[in-house]
Amino acid sequence: MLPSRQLSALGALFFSATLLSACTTDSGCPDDLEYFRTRVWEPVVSVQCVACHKSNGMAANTRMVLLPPGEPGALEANFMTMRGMAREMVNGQPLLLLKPSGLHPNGHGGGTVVEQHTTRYDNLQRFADRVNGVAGACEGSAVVACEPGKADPNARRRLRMLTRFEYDNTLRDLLYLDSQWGQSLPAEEVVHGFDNSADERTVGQLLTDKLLAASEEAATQAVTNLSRHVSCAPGEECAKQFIQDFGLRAFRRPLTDAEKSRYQSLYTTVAAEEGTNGYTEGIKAIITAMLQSPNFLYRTELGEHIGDGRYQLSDYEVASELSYLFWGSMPDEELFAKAKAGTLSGKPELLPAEARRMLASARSRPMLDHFVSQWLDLGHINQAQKDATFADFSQTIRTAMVAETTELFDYVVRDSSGRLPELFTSDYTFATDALASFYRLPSGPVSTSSTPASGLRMWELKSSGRGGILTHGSILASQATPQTSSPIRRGKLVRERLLCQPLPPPPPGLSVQLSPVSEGLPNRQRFQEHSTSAACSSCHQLMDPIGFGFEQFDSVGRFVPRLPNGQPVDASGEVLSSAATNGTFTGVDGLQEKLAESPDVHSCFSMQWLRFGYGVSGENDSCAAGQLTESFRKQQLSIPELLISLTQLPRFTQRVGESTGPSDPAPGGGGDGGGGGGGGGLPPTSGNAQISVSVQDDWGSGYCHNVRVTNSGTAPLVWQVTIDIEGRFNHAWSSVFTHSGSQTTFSGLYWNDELAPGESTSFGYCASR
Amino acid sequence: MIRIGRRQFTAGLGASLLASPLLRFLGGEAHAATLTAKRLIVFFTPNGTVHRYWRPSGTETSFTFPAGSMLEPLNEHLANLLVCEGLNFVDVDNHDAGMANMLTGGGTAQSASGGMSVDQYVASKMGEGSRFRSLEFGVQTSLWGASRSTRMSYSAPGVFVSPEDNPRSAFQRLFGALGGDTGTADKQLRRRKSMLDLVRGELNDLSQRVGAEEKRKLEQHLEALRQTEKGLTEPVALPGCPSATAPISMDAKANANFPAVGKAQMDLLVSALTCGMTRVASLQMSHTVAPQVFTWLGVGEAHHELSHKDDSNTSGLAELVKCERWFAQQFAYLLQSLKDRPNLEGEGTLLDSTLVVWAKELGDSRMHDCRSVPFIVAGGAQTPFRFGRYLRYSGVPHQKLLTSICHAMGAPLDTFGDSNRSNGLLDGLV
Repeated sequence: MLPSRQLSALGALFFSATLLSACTTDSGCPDDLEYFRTRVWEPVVSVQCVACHKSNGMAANTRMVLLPPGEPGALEANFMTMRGMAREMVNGQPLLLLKPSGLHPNGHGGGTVVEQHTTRYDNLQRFADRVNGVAGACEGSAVVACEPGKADPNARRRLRMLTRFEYDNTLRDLLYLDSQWGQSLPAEEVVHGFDNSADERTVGQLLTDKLLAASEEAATQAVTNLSRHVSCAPGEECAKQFIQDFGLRAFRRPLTDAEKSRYQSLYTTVAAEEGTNGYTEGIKAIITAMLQSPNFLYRTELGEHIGDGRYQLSDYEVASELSYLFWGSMPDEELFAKAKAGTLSGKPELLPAEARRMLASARSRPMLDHFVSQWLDLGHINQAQKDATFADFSQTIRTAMVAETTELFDYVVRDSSGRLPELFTSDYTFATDALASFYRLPSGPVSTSSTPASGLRMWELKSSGRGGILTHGSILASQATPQTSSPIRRGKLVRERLLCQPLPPPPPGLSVQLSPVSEGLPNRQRFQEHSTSAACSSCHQLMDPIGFGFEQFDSVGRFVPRLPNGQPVDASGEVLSSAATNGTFTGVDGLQEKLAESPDVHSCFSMQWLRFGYGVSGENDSCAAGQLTESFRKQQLSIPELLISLTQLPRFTQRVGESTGPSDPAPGGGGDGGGGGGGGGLPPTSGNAQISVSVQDDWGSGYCHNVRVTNSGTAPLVWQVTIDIEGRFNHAWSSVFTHSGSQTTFSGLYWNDELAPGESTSFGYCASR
Repeated sequence: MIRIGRRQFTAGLGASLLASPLLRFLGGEAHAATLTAKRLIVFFTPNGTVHRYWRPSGTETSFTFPAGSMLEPLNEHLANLLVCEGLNFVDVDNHDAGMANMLTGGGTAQSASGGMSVDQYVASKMGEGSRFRSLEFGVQTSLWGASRSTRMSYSAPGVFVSPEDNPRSAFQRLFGALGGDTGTADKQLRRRKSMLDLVRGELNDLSQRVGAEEKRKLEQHLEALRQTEKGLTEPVALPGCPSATAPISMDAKANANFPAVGKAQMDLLVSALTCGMTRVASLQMSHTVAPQVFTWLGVGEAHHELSHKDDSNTSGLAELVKCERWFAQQFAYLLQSLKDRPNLEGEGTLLDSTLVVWAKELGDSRMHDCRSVPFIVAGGAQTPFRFGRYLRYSGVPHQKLLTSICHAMGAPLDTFGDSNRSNGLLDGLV
């Protein structure tokens, strides 16, 4: 049986959209329901709000009571309910925005769950604008039909900064050094457990300070082995060669002439100053500077404009997409050669072959490990404190537990069926001898030989109580307390990481203490309060009943099927509120059987790879997520094929520009992007400055303007521009600003505040209407 | 409407330079209006409190922390404390939201504070003359990566300022540049500047090719580079800066090293202030939902678990009190370190001209709410605040305290944070 949630994802929705528009003739856009489904319901409300906002939830006595996902007619009914909330204004703002953002005068019972300045907030804003008939809202956020092979309307052009993992891998491959510098950089912003969110990554002084130090140290080490980089005789010409060859590898594309001469002149200056040591010091300076260059630190996914607001990524950009997706590192010689030959971006049908080569290579192993570690939060094990009674839960055991999980994942992907269900149903595992004895495995190893580096051997799990990835100590011991198991944490992990249903924070004003751990008392009885108190149960029923299924595994992940009094541990559990997975089960194996077959888990797993592969949150990516899931199902849930499919999404080679208007200008072009036409009537000149304002982007409910300031006088000018900004100011670039009433005064930064005669600079700002 | 003109000379830096000689003339009779604190330290510890073990006993001007209570270790510093009870994060509850609201007061890009946290706002106003606009020290803040629950400093809405969690790295960043002969140092400085110039050119080039959102990110990158460059060119340290010793090498992420990392970070923080490297610093001990187990106190459960023990669980609460007393000892150590250093601008000690704010993200830890969030402000005579008092408010927005801190630091504004939730200063501080 295919649940209705899946049906709607496959396009049955157009049918209900027609029905709905027939019975709602009031203002709005024709595709409001589709907008609601893809931007509001599926990514946010169905997974985060419904836990409380349902008839048996904590917010049952509020006016927003929704039908859970999977209930017949849930989408349409919830659309109508939430449209009502969007139309109700408090202090001029839609209730729908004020409540979840915590901005409502009376607050929000569930706290702030949707922050301002986030994609989900903007999407709610656009939904409200649409249903309130705000001018330009329909056009500004039109839902573009998601068709296979067509450009993905949500695939933005962007920059992706190397993560610490990628930074270290890249330095290793670029400089032939063992790099640990990346690990000393500030931690990335973590989104859904992943470290590579392109939108969230920010740069502060701590990072640039440390990058400076790391670059100097790495360059100093690299020049001790210069012959690996160049074979020519030291001198000016050789430096030129080095800039071209090393530059291509560092920037992952050929350097422009301007870039070459920049580095050449750096070399010349340094070489002249250093005399006899000039060549080496000059090369060192080049490496140091390149390692701090944005062209090294960011992977561009910008492309060239090919019309209709679409951009074709360059062959070099695609080469990097491939290498960072499969290896977490820079392209190899072969990829560079293909980029040079121009056979990547324009021929997406050839990419699978390339992807297969890369996945088959041993170099993909760190990437697979990195995925599993983040997906299942394996790193947590290193911080898991345990009581003294678990003294044998040593660092060696912890390390072996993580290795068990990464090895199983790698084995399934590379050497076995490749199918997702095998992760849950495997009746074997990989353990060091120490871990096998820690687990007290009754059977012996399948093979006598072990992997030399890790000491892992394959073990049979017959009558061990174990089997499947969720019985790995790396997960069980991480999601536990120092004394005992934690049904909450284990249930939460399954809910969030395997079903992709993030949980709201616990409500304020409730004391949530559990009764103390007591020998002989079944652990699950400590959680009684969670099911008897309505306030607790609406959320805890999403976690605890799943977690109860893990009760036979203790704080450190050992199988302990009996209480001290000899009674068997009750390991019955239940999945609730996840339509395609609901039902009771017994033990982790029972749970895993359910998960292996659950369409919810399948679509979640492909979503996790979309997040990991593209550095997105998934909230604006329903098109790509739907396509990926469909292809994952068609390929019999094959993980390797899922990875290959990532390269077959339209966004792998094509992006869309920022402007959404029909007459989208080429990059750098001015022109009016259409839409609301804010900021009209600006005088072109004032004093000695000439000002021109162009619309950079306009999506109806908001816009960005670019302002060009040119010094038309004969003396240097320190500029300041005051603008009456239409709507609500959001942010600005290349300027500092102060607000006074509705006016905002901009002035330059240290590098663009003073203009020589004839010189110009640009700044810009964005605002919401 | 557009106006163009030569930008007015705003005397941010000028004013603070002028202020110090003036103070010396005024001596002990300095008028509150002209007095500003010279340094700001934010000290954070997680998971709220249990008020009845936190509260002092006594009156506004005569109070003490009872034996066995959480703050008893602060009794030796009573004259330097403002104990503030009854400040609320208005309409904000829970771990993450509390963490995000604690120092920002819910400000947005439209607010006068621009959505910055109070430390970053003050740094933006008074940090330009220093080698580092601000310094952020952390103790195991990054084990879960950077997120709303693990960060407290914001340079703009949604933009975290990450702390350095590793004392050795912090030491290297602060003191690693010291030493070497001037010729070599000059050459190195010249070279670094020319490399940064080059990098800046490449950032500007790239900026031409990207959309508005990415431009804003590159803008942040440029600003960070500018700070890095300034750090290279400003005097590395004041003359007479005591040489700090490198912290011992240790695993800064290991639970058992939490106390050692904390102490090393406090020592570095105080050294950096003493050496005039910055005027704004923070020390963040773990983060909300702290997973650390205070094994060094013989405690067996994680701090967050302990913070949920209800009143009937006396042994659990006793363990929480133990942990909180340990945090109070750390705060006392920080205050004592500041007292042990001479003031940089005038008479007295470094503490006399410094505001130290001990902030938390929750009120009653069991309730997950942000009502009556405990704040302690420490400092001395060379600041506008009158210390040695226990102030009881009833549900006053904590934005008022943040606003008052900005005023005391010489960076006045009408309201810090969300002006729909609060306005004006906190009564009773000056």
